[in-house]
Amino acid sequence: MNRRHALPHTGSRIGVNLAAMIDVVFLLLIYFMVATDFRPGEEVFRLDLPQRQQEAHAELFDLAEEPLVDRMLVRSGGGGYELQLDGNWPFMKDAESLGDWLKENRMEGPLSTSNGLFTSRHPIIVVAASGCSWRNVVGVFNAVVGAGYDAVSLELLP
Amino acid sequence: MSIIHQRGPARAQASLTPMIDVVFLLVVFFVAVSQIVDQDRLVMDLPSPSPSAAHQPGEGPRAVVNVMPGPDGTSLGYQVDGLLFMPDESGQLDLIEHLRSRMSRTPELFVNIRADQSTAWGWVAPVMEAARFAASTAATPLPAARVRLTVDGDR
Repeated sequence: MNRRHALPHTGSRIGVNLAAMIDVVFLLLIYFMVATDFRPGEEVFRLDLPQRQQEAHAELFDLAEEPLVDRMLVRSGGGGYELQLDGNWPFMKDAESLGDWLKENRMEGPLSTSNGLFTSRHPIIVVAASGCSWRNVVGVFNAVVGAGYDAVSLELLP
Repeated sequence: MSIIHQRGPARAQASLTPMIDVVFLLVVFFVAVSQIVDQDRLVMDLPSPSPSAAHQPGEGPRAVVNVMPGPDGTSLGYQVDGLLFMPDESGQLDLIEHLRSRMSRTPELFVNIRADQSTAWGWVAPVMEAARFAASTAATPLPAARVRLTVDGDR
């Protein structure tokens, strides 16, 4: 017997039950809200690393400025570091004092004086010992860049 | 002339459609965000200098090199594009080859270096050397490797 024809027509409406779907969707929403880790946005320092051959084949009569070399040495027995500027420059006790000194001796800028020593394009090389922590290296790099210098480079102390 | 409709008592009914729309949008948002975050950023404690002189990275092609932190300031290797390179001589050669192939295809490529703040500089420097060497030996040799140091923004 064909039951389809036997069912009386009652006029009832067929509806999709949304409750189950809403439950699942809310579970997904809660899962992703909990699992998503909103971290502060990352920022970057730009650093151009020129080829070494170019440095080696520099023209004899190029009037390139002598780079200011800032050596970072690991302090024995501790996690700190020592800063040494090559040449007859004052002692720097930390990255902050280095940044202040570089800012005061820049030729342009709000804190510069008329007898500033360096332009903002003056090459500065931070030469760090291999044992220096990345935090300290980035701290010194940040101080130099924050003082308004563009041509900053990083090197590994041989 | 006024017409009176007699339909019985009015039934208040909440329309679920806008709510479902919004909830689905939120689900799609969180799915997309979680995928973006996990794509090339390993979870690590980046340096966060304060006040920071760093800036927003902006758009552009990039290769993110994650210096995977190891015990006592060492590194377990370098992760780029889902590939792991060991922190030894052969690993560095493979890393150079990988960066070289990417720079040859995309000369304007930025190499973003991410390293844990406790990692020693001696484990990060080889990545810079690799980027420098890859740039100088790319299909069209580049005058300089375009490197960016990644830090956490000011909190």
